[in-house]
Amino acid sequence: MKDFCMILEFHQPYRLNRNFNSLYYAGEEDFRKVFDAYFDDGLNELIFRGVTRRCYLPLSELILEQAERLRREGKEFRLAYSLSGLFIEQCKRWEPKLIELIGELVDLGYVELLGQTYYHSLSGLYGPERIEFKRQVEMHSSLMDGLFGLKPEVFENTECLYNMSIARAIDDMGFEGIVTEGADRILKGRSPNYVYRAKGCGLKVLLRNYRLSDDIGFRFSSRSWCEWPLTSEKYVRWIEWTPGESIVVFIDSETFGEHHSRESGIFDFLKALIRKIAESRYLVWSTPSEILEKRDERGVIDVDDFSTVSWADLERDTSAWLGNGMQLTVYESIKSLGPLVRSLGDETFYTVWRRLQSSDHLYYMSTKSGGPGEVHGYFNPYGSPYEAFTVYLRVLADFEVRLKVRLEETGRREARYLFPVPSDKAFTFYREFARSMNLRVRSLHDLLSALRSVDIKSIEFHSERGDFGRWVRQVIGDMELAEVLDEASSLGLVGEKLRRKLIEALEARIAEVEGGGSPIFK
Amino acid sequence: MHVIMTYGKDSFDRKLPEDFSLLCMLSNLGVTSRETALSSEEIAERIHLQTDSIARLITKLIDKGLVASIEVENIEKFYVTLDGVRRVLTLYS
Amino acid sequence: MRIDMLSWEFPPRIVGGIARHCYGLARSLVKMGHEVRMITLEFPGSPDFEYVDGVAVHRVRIELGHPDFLTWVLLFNHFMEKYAARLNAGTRSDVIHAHDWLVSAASISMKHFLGKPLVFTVHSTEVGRSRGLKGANSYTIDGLEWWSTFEASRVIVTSESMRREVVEHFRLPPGKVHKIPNGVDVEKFNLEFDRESFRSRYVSSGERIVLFVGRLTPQKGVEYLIKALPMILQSHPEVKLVIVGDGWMSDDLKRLARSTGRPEKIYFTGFLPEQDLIKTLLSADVLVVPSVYEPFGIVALEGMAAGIPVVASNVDGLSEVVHHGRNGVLTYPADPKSIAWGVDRILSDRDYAKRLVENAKREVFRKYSWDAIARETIKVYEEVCM
Repeated sequence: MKDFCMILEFHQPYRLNRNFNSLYYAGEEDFRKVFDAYFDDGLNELIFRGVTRRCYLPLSELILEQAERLRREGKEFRLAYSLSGLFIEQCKRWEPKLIELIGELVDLGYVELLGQTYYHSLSGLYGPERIEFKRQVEMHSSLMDGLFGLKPEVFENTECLYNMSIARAIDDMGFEGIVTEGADRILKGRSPNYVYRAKGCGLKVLLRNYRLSDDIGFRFSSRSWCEWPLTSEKYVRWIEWTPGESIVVFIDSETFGEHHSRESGIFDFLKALIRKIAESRYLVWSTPSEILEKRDERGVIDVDDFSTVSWADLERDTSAWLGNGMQLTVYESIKSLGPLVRSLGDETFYTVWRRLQSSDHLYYMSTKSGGPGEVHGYFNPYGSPYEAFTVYLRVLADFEVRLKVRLEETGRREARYLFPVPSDKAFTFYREFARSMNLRVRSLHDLLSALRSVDIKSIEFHSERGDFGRWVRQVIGDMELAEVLDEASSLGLVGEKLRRKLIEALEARIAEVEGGGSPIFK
Repeated sequence: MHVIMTYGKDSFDRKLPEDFSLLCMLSNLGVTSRETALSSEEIAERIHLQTDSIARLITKLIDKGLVASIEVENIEKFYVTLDGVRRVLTLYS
Repeated sequence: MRIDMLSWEFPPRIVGGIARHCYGLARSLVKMGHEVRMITLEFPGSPDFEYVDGVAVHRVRIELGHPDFLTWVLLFNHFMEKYAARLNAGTRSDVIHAHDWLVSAASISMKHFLGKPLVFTVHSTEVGRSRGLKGANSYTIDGLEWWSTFEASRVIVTSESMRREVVEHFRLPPGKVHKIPNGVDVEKFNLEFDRESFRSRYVSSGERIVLFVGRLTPQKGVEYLIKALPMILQSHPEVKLVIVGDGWMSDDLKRLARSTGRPEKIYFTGFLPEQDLIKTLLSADVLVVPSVYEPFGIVALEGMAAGIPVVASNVDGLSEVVHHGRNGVLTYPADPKSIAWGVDRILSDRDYAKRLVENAKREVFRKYSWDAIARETIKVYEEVCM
C-alpha cells in the first residue's frame, strides 16, 4: 500500500493600507492608533469573510462529512492542515466558527496540524542561529497547543523554503521532519515519493510531488491543458501507478472554491477523490507524521544555503520574494530593524515588525513576467508591484521613525548604534595598505561576526591604525565603544589575543545596548 | 555527390510524442506479454525516465489500447498489446 | 540451393515493405525448388517455427531487451546469430541473404563463420530516411549500412534511385550493385466479393473513395493529402478520404483532419488485416501515394495491380514505378495543391483513368511478378557462389 498524503495550506496576510501617509499622523502621540492605520483591516476582513464563505468553510465541512461517512464504513481518511498564525488571528476576529470546525476535525483525528512560522515570514533565511525564526516557530507551536491541544511534529516552512540552516534549526527545535518542495534540482534524478533525511542532522524530509500537486492546484480548470477535464478516476490511476512509497500533494486550501470556482467542479472532484483513495486497494490516506513513522529514509537531501528551494514559480527558489531590487531593499530594511525592536522590547512594536515580515508583502513586489508573473498579479491587492513597494516603504519609514523616537523616549538611545549605516559608509577590511579584502560591514553585529572570522593580519593592520575606534566614533556614533576599542588597540596586542580582546569589547557593548529589552515571546 | 532531396523537412524534425517513446522502450525491453509484464516501479527502474511522468503516460497508452494492465499478487503490471507492438513498428522501415 | 534469409520483419510482423518483399521472394524461391530458411523475430501470437507456403520460418526469441533502440538491435542480432549458428550446425546453407542494417551484425558474423557468401539488400538508407545523419544513433546506423555493403559480395537495391544513393553515399563500385525491383502478388487481387456492401463500411452510395495506404509517419506525406482534401472537395463534393494504416503520427493527423473543417469526410481505419486491405484497395476510386521519401513504393504497385488509378508524388523510386500520363499521375512532393490537381485529373476524366489503369495492369504483370524477381535473385546467388 502506498501512502497518499494531502496537505492544505491556510494563510492570509495583513494587507497594508494603500492610503497610509505619515503626514496624517504627524502629531499623533499614541503609536498604537498609527499602527492600526498601517493595515487595511476593512479589506482584510472583506477578503477573509469572502474566502471563508467560498472556500475555507465548505472545504472543511466537506472534509468532515466525508471523513465521518467513511469512518462509519470502516474506511480511513486523514489529511494535514498547515495554519499560519496570521490566519488564526484573523479567523478569531472575523470567523470564529471556522476555528471551531477545524478544532472538531483535529479532535476527531481527521486532521494533523503542521508547524510553520507564525507570521508566514522569510525569517528562516537570516540571522545568527536563526533566533528570530525559532521564535516565530515557537510562537506558532504554542498557538496550536493552546487552541487545539496539540504541538505539531512535522514542520512546513513558509512557501516550502528549505536549506541546510533551516533544517538544522528545525531539528534543534525537536521536530520529527520537514516538508519541502520535491524540486528536480535537489532530487537529482531521484523520486520525490520516498522519505529522505536532511544532510548533517537527523531531520526527516518529506517531498512535495509538484506535478501531482500542480495538476490540482494550477491546471485543474485550465481548458488548454491536454488532460482537461481531470477526473478523479484518471487522477487516482496516476497516483496508483506512480512509483514510490509515499506521495505528498501539498496545495493551497484556496484551490477549492477560490482559485478554481465551485462551478469548475473542484469540490466534486475532491469528494470523489477522498472516497476513491479510501477505497483503493493500492493507496491509503496518511498524514506526514504517519509516513515518517512508517517509512525508512531513502537518501540524503543536501541543499546549501545559497541554493535555497521553495515551491514558488518555475524557478522554485527565493526569487519570488527576493528577485528584484525593490524586494531586496525591503528585505534588508526590515531585517536591519531587528536589533532595535529587540532592544526596545515592546510587544506592540514586535507585532508590527513581524507582521511586516510576511512573505506576501515581498511577493506582491515581484516583477516577473509570463505565467509566474500572472500568478503574482492574481494575488496582488495593489495595482502593481511598484505600488506594493511604495505602500510598503511609506509604512516602513513611519515605523522606523516611531521606533527610533520610542527608543529615545524610553532612554534607549544607544540602540540606534545597532542600526546599520548606509552602504557608502560601510567599514571595508584591508589586508594591508591599498589591498582591499572585499569584506564590508555596515553594523556592529556585522563587525562582530567579521572579527570572528577575518584574517588576523587584517585585524592587526586596522587596529594599529586605530580604524575600528575611528569608524565606531565617526560613523556609528558610539563614543563609549570607540574609546574601549581605542584602548584595546593601544595595548599593543597581536594575533589571537588582539582578536579576542576586540570581540569581548564588542560583545559586551552589544549585550549592554540590546539587553534592556527582553524579548517578549520566548 | 548525390544530393538527397528534402521535402517536408519540418515534419521530419518533429519530436516523437512522449507516450510513444515510452511505448517503444517497453517494446524494446520485451514487455509484450502477460508473462513479461512490469509494474510501474520496475518500469521506472529499468527506463531512466522521470518517474512522475510514467503514471500519466501509461494512462494515456491504456486509453489508446496500446498497453494493457493485469494484476499479479496485488500489484498492477503493464505490457504492450499487439496493437501497441504494431504501433511501435511503424517507427522504422 | 539452400538460402538462409535474415530479416527483422516477416508477416505477420509487418513494419514496411521488407516483410512483403521477403514473403513474396521466399515463396517464389521455394516454388522454383530452392530451400529457404527465413530467420526473423518473434511476434506476439506467432509460433517460433512454422512452414509458410513451403518457407521454413524461424522466429527468434529476444531473451534480453533494452529500452534503447540501437542497443536492443545489437542484442537481438546476438540471439539471431546464435539461432542461425545452431541451424547451420545441422544443414549448412549455400548463401546468406540479409535485408537492411537491422540484421547486419548477425549476417556478417554468419558469413565469416560459415565461409559462405553474403548478399545484402538495401531497402532504404539512414541518410535518406532521416534526411541526413542526425545524432549518434544515425551515424552508427549509417556505419552499419556501409559495413554491410562492404562485407557483402553483392548488393541488391529495388530502384535506380536507391542504386544512385548507395553507389554515391557508400562509394560502391557500380558493378557490385544489382537492381531487382519489388514485386506484387497479382493473384491475390482476383477476389470475388460484394464490392458495394464492402464499400458501405466507409462511404454511402454515390460517394467516391480517395484512398491512402501506409504507415502514418512523416516520410509518407499524409499531411499533404489531408491538406489537399478541402481543395478536392470543391470540385468533387462526393469524395471521401479513407486513410488505412497506423503510426505514431496518428494523433497529430487526426487533429489535422479536424482542423480542415470537414472531419466527416476523412475516415481513419487504423491497421487492417491483409484480406480487408485487399478488399479496400479493390473498392477505392483512386489511390494517392503522397510520400516525400520512398525508395520503392510497393503500395503504388498494389494499387496498379488492383486496377485503381494511382496518383503518386514524383520522388525517388516512386517516379520509376509510376510514369506520368502512362500508368498513373505524378504530382509535386509535399504540395497539397498539386495532389488536389492530380486527384481531380483522375476523377473528372473517366476515360483517362481507364487508360491509365489498363496500362498499369499490363506493366505490373510483365515487370513485377515475384517469379521474375526470384529468377533475377537466383542469378545473383549463383554469381556469388561460383
